[in-house]
Amino acid sequence: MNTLNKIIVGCGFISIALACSEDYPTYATEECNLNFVYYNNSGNPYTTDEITDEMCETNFSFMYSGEEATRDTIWFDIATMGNLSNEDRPIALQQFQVNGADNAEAGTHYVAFDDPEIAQFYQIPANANRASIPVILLRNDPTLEERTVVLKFGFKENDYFKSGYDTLSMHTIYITDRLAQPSNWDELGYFGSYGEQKHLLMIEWTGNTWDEDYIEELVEGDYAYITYLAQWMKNKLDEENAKRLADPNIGDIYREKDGTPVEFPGY
Amino acid sequence: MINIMKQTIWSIIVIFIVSLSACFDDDSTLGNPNYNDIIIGELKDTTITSFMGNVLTITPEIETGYDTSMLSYAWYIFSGSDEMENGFRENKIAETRTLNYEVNLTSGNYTIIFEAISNNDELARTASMQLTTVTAFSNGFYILKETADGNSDLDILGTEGLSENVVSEMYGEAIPGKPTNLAVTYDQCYVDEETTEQAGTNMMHVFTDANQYRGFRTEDLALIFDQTTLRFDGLDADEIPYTMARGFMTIYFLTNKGVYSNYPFSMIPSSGKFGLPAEGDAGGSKFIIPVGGGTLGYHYWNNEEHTLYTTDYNGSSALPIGYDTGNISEANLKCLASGENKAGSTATGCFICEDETTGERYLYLVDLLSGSVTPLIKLDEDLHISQGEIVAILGNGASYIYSVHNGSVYVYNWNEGGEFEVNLPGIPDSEKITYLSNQYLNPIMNTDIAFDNLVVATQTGDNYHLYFYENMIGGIPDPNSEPKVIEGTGTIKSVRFVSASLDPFEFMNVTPFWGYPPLMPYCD
Repeated sequence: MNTLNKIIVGCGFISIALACSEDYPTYATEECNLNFVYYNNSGNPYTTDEITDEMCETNFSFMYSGEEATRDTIWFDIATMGNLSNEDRPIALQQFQVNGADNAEAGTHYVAFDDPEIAQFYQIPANANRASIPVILLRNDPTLEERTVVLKFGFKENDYFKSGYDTLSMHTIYITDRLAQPSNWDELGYFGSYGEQKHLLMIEWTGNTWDEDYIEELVEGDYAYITYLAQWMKNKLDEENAKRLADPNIGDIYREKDGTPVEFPGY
Repeated sequence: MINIMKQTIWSIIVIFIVSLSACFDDDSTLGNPNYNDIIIGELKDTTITSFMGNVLTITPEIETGYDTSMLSYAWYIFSGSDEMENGFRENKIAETRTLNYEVNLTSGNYTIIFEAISNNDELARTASMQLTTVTAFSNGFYILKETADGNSDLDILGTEGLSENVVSEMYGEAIPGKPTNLAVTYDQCYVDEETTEQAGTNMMHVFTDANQYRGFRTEDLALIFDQTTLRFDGLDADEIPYTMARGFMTIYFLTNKGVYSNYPFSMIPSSGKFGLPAEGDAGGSKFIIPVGGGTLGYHYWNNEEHTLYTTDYNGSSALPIGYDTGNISEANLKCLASGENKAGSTATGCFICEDETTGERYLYLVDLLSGSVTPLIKLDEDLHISQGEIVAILGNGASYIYSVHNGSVYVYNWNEGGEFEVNLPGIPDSEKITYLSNQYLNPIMNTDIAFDNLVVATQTGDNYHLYFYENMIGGIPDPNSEPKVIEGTGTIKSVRFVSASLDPFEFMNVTPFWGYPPLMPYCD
């Protein structure tokens, strides 16, 4: 009888276990997070494992803003994780100091993130999960003509939001008032390594800005035109260097400030 | 007592197992008296010419136990990789058992799916077929000719017969200048004016001695490029365009300024315009052959340097090959003909050159696998190949070079050094031979489209006859087979074939690199 009872009880437990179904709890997490959003050529956001350091950096130079400009603005797309709200929700940003670098100073190089002038833009609108936020850069420091300062910033926790994924929580802007290497320079492919003198020559010879926007337009346009320009630059440099070498007042080829010869590998 | 207990235990276990199985649905079909199948007969692959009002009519055979009134039908069509992206049901073209589909599709290969569905239980069965579409111009022989007034025009022998003077008919006038070359490329980049998108297409290119160039889309003879639009800077005023060629992974454009290159559309889309010549020396010609070896590029005769040059598979260089000329001066040589040849397991490239001061002729032999050039062979001046008005290299079958001398056709065997006369049936003695070439297509994958013709043109007044010897035996037309003949006006300069269904992947074997015959001739 004991054996029989054990069998009956055992079957009973098994039946109960199989008869049970799991009730999943509804999503009720209050915590909301913020992430920067970066898009591929098709207009779709990159996933976290596709994010590269280069995507999270911006090289900015006031040289492209015009001589009269005293400030300029860079816009960043952000997105929330978590519930929507039927009210506007403020966001907060903060600067992170970079060891060993010339860090940007609020009020000198950029409008402080808590400045009332900018507060209206730092919010997620009601019933929305995305926004574009500005970082306003200032041209108050004449030393930017000789150096580059770094503004590394990200989300600051407030009553509404926390930072999101590590790879999407911070962005770095390199601010200068001289020619700066566009962050997408390497996408050109056939123009060799970056150099300020090289960059100046490209702008002078073609009349184009060769900034990030122009490079993006080229890269998304005609591959044949890129290879043509690459070879054209090489030929033009050969031609101009020959003139410089023949000129007794110059007698040297084009070089970067550190003496490295300017080179275009061509196509 | 023990037996009763055992029975009780087993009863409980059985009840327990049965109660568990009650949770499962019975979806078996065995024993269901209403279960039937739908068996669809084979659908045959077909080729059809588009935009001509041709209707594809198919009534599939169906065997089924279902009441056919309870079946519904659907026909779908997709091209290439569309199925991967959208599933085959994206584009329905009919909902009846019999398909009556007027074909107005761009040239290419399509898959047609027929689906029969039981309305009762939604049992579905499908059958598929391949549809290859061509247009009147996308698949056939292009004939470049000199018109009576010394300009250049095209006749096209397509799927719907011979279309004459196509350029002047479509564009109001022939191309200025006498014809110098006709070249075909596949999957070349351009910007489609209708969509403003970068696209790839097969193209036929015409070159004349007035430095005029026209690049036509073979789908519909739309003018894609001319000498003012082909390069970003336009052709230089003194630039002589020679030829265009599709290589392993490059589209080459040769002029007297050098070698230009672009990628085919399937590799890297672009506008298709050319930039600047490759690093190296200027010069080129229409005489080019693909080679294997280290460069996987092209060897070509350089008219300006009077020697053989080579460019790599990227078209990024243009350099002299360097070879033993056997103390023969190339300074006054001009090239007469070139081509690839495969005889047995040996793949050879040939260039025939003539000294413009002495009239002596020389044979260059190139090992197509390594690209190396053997020492020049001076051709005996008594041979017909040394005197013939026409010289043409055979593509496959024997080590032969054709020549036409004083109206007769001869074959020179460079391995044996001898010649013999070839009698071509069907050509009247009164007709003078003005053109001869071996036109062929030897794809590895789609062998259904392969062919090998000796093409011979004759002239009588302002009219030509074009003879297609379609049965080649060991490099010679079958003497018992009559040729196919067409006639037209003008003087034929060149003939090229374009295929609407040649897979660009075939250009991986553009040289006889893997033991196959040459894919197609690149020049006369």
